[in-house]
Amino acid sequence: MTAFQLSDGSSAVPELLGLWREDSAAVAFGGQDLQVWRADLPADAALARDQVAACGVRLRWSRAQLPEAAAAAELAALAEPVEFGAAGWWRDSCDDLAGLAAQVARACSPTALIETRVGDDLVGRSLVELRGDARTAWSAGAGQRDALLHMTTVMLALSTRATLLRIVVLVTRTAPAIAVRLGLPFGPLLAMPVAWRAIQGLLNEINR
Amino acid sequence: MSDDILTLNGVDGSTGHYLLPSLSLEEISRLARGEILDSDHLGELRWRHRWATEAAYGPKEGVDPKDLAQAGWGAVFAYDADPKVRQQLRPLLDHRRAQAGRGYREFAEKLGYRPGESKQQFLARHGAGPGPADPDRIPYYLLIVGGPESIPYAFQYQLDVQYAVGRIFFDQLRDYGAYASSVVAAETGSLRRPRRVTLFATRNPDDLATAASAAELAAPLVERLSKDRPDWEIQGLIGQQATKARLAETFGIGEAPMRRQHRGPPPQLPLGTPALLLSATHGVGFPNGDPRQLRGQGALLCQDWPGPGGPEGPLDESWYFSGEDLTAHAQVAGLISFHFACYGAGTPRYDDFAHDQDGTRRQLTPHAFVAALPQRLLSHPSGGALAVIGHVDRAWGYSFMWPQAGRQTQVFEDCLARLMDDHPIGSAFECFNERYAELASDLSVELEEVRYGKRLDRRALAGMWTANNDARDFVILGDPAVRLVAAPKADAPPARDAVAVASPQVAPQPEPEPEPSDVDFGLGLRDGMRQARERLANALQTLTSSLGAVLERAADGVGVFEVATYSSDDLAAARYDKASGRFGGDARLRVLSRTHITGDTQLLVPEELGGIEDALWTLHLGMVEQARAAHSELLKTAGAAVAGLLGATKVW
Repeated sequence: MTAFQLSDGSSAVPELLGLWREDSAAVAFGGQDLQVWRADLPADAALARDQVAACGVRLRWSRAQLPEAAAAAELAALAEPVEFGAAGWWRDSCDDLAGLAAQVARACSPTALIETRVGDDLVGRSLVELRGDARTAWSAGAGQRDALLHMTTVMLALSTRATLLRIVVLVTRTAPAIAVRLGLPFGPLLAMPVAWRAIQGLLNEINR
Repeated sequence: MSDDILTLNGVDGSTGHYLLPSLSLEEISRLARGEILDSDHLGELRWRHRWATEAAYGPKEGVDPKDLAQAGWGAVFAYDADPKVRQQLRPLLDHRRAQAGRGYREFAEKLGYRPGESKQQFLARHGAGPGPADPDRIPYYLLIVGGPESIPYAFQYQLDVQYAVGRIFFDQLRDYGAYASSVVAAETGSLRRPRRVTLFATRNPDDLATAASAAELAAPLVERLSKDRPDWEIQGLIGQQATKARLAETFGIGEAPMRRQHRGPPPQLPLGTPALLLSATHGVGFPNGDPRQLRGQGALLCQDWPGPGGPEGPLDESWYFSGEDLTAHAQVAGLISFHFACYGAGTPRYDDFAHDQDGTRRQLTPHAFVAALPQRLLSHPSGGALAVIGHVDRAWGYSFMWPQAGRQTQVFEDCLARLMDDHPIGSAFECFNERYAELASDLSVELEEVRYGKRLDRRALAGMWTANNDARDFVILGDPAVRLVAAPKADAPPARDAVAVASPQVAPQPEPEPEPSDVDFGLGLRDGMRQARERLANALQTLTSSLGAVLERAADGVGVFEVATYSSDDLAAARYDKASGRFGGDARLRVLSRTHITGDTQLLVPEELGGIEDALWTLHLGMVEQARAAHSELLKTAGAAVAGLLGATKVW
């Protein structure tokens, strides 16, 4: 079981959509079919608000750019020769895409557990099922500000999941066009890493 | 593509989300198995299918459907219809009487339609039984005059199997007069529309339904008609060109100011109104009882809509074309328009596709109605359109695609071809009725076999049931005897280079793929490539399988979902116990919402815990909205991802 930790922007390790850091440490809650999304926010109200707002802007921007990414991927594929083989970027991209597939599968676990901590206090804990049911435990002493922070954390987690799926859709839709343009054999399969590489490049650009 | 086919055309105007199916495949197939088909109607559908596969469409043998003197024409009023409606329609009734002669009938007052009457009962009362239309008994062309509350859509569907049926219904008495005058003027005057067919199809960003209808319906139709009908101008407004402003031009509004300003670039080289328009777009829907429902449901959602990834919230009115957008400047006289969109023709009171938890049909609207856009088109004060073909209830991809078989546009091609060959619209529309008869016949056979022990294929049965209802729900609004009023061939439109005519974007077809064993990319590279490919293949297959499970869970009991909010003084200790479905420790349930997929919500608040704090209330309402939106998006994107992965990985 893994957990995604909301980024504070300081991490140097690869992050999920520039928002979440994957933490493979065991979590103390739930079973095998649980994916944990956790936001540890500063106690300072303004800083906490800024952190989730920045993540929200980044996510919305990524989503908005996805349709453009398809066209960019096709162009990029034509501009850069595909290097198949043991050491080519195509092979690396294959592995990256396999990593994305695994990440998406994890993000779509049957239950999402979403927790928001402000300073030292756990203020909200929500379980959201794939079928839409949601249960939230709320800290009795928390106020409106904390409610809004937790709602934003939930939104970020669920939107991230959906955005990952959109990326998969985009890769599968773009690959056939690239395969045709490059005259690749095996249908869209060989073109999928090419599409993913271009889309990933665009997303990285956004995150920078 | 089977997952795509379950994508429907419709967007909720109040939320901007899709009008989702409210049942899982399991539930749909269960409904189909419990479907009680009217045995008389079913027998006739089977007969209709056999007959149509052996002979040409139309009335009984020897009757030319193009000749009203042979085929007959009649108007069916509700028994208690306002006599002033007939007076308003008098110019049209007299015109048809002159054409049909002895084959002319008016079914009004005691001869009119009676509440609750089935098609068989109505025909029997007038001396006709099931079978092909016999104009000596009942005319082949029948115009229903009245709303769907007084003469139900179900009666129209049934009657349409053997007869060529249309309907008119207007809120204002004078609109009947306007429509009658428009038809008579078009058929007796000098009005001639250019020999142009316009295919208007949106391809909204990140939207499966319109991607499919643009690529698999509109573009192939443009290609086929351009090839087969050189004496017609075929205009394709597909994707980026299918804006609200271009649709306004197509309705002849041109440069005139629209009620709501379009935000996009200015339109180019308006061509004006064609003789025939076919649009393929999302239709706009609203929740039951929403004040915008009557005027906005069935409006055509244009390319201006940024798609499901656009801003959250209600649809902006500048994105869709409704009856209110058809200003007095519009020039739609003589037009025949075909709107492939959810609710494009109207809305029944109860959903044809979804049922509530207790098995009763879900209510869509306080009362059934005809969509405002076709009403406005037909009764336009500057001269109305002649007819509008549209869909009652929601439209599905089954209309032009079929699982495993892919694109199926023949019914549309046949209908358009017959219109261009001067068939009255009711006769041209027979191919849709034939398709309904075939699907209903196949469904009944399948259900029978399942009852007698055939292994149940839920997906196949759910698909057949949905496709059957989908095919049934196409209707004609307007007189079924009208036909295109296009300029003769000698008055052919200007050469193509003089006007801006969009060419369809037809995707290049890939060359046949070589077998994997035939391909080598170079010495020493093959093994590394194969290993990488295999790793990727495994990862994607695992993902496909995981997402399949996600879809199954997400669609489980999709009709209603629950959002519960607890409060706790020691949240760290409030662990969730899956077995009991509750939070442990001192967590107390404070609010529980049961929300139907349509947005109807029941709110339960335990009395003993007193009032609800603002923060908790804010949180709960926010969670209800987020859970609903996330679930809706999850169903859509996971379905699209599975479809894409299956398509992309099928070569292994």
